Amino acid sequence: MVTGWIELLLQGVLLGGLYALFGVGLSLVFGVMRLVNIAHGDLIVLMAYVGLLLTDKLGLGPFTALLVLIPLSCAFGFALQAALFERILNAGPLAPLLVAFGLAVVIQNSLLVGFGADSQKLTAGGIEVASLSLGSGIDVGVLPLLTFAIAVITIGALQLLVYRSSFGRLLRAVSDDRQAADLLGVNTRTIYRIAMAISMGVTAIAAIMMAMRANFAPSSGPTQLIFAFEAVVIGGLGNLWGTLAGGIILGVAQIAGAQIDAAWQVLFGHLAFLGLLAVRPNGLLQRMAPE
Amino acid sequence: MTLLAITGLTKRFGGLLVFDQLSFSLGRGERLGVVGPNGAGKSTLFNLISGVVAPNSGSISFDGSDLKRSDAWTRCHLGIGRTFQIPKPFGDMTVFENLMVAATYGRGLSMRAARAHCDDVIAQTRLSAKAARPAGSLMLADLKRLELARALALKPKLLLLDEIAGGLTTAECDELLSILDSIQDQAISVIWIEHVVAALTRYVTRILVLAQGRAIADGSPSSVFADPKVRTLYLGEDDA
Repeated sequence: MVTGWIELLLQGVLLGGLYALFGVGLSLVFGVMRLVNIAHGDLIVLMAYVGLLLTDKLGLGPFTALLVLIPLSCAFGFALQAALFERILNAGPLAPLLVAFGLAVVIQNSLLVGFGADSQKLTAGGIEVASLSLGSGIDVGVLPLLTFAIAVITIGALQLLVYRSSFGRLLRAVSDDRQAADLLGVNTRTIYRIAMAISMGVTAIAAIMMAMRANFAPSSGPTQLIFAFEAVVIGGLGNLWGTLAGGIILGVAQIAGAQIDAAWQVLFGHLAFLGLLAVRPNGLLQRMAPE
Repeated sequence: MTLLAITGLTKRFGGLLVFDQLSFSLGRGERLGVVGPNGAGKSTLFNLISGVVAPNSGSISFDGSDLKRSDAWTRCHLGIGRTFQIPKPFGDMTVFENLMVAATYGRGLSMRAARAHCDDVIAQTRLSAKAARPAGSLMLADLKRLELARALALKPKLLLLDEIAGGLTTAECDELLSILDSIQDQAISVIWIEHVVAALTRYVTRILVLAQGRAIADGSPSSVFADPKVRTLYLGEDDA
């Protein structure tokens, strides 16, 4: 009985790694340019389909596909910012939301035309069902464990980039006050493009890990967006490790709900989110202080 | 030797005419004070020069190049540094890091050169004791000095000071003036907008008075404040 509960808890924690991967891309874009990218979930699904093309049509393995997908996705993010978002970021608070919403609709419908409504899955050659014994009768899935490890590495790398590198100083400056940064000679337009590119690079990772774990369809985006949002908000806006904590809380709540009834899985996640928001309206962790 | 030339500059915000064919120029190494009543467009002048807003017509040329199509950061790279009336520090960063943003990206210095330069500027602006403090924790007088330091970290040819003495005590103001005096040998041209005229006249050699979108007086501080038009504007004296 106890080992059963420990196993469930572990499952929840590891699932949180995936949600954290969903969340950090969203968080980065919001943090740097105050853009609430409600197309984020659909961008994850779009990259999952591109990943599917790479594995099915080109016969690449899922991790080779990921190595190809990351630069593709970064380039796509850079172009997306240059061609679309940068034109409307100064047009008031509503325009970016509407444009992101429009982008979400366009992605969903394009995927529907291109791939049909059936749900798909990325085959990973066995690791999606492989499990690892931790002793005392506790088993964990290899894929969730790998996803979690990748999430920790990704967040750790982003944390170093943002808080320890000279480029990160620039990101923080632009995030803090765009006008002041402009007038100190920082080309903020380029910084925004790079931030979107980094966000889409992380999105590519999230997409492949999601696509190996679960079925996805052109209409899956909004659900992923909600999970991403919840992970970010629970953890506290602008705190990357907080997003991981938020993802873990969301994951554990969902797995707990699923024990009562499979239909309760998502509901329990939302309840945990609302409950935490009532107690800690600013999220678990505060914005990172300078080190 | 002209560094900055403003010709026929006109700026409207909707129906409000802020500048009507404003023209003036600034020589290299010159220190110009700009005064005028509230709403005379003093801060707008800085926004036009630094590229935050675009003029409706007229031209601004700096160091021989026309600024018409330049973005704010490009102008910064050309050598225009400014401070803000209400300080805009990057609050989460240390004072030193604030300067590093300017020195590395604004001036294009290598990391090593930028560090050395920022150390110099911090010593010069007497912020050494606070270099490692988060900028958000500073008091007003230090924030004003940080504004100055960050602009100096750009190694500007033209320094735009926007009410940098505003809100300071007499002692703080004296210290600021002595810091400003210590940078005189670097051949930086300065335009200083200030309401604290007593501080201004101790530093600048020329004063431009703005009112109703025009320059109503331009000359040495003593001649400008002796001008009847200026006296009417400031002291409400009648010509009679």
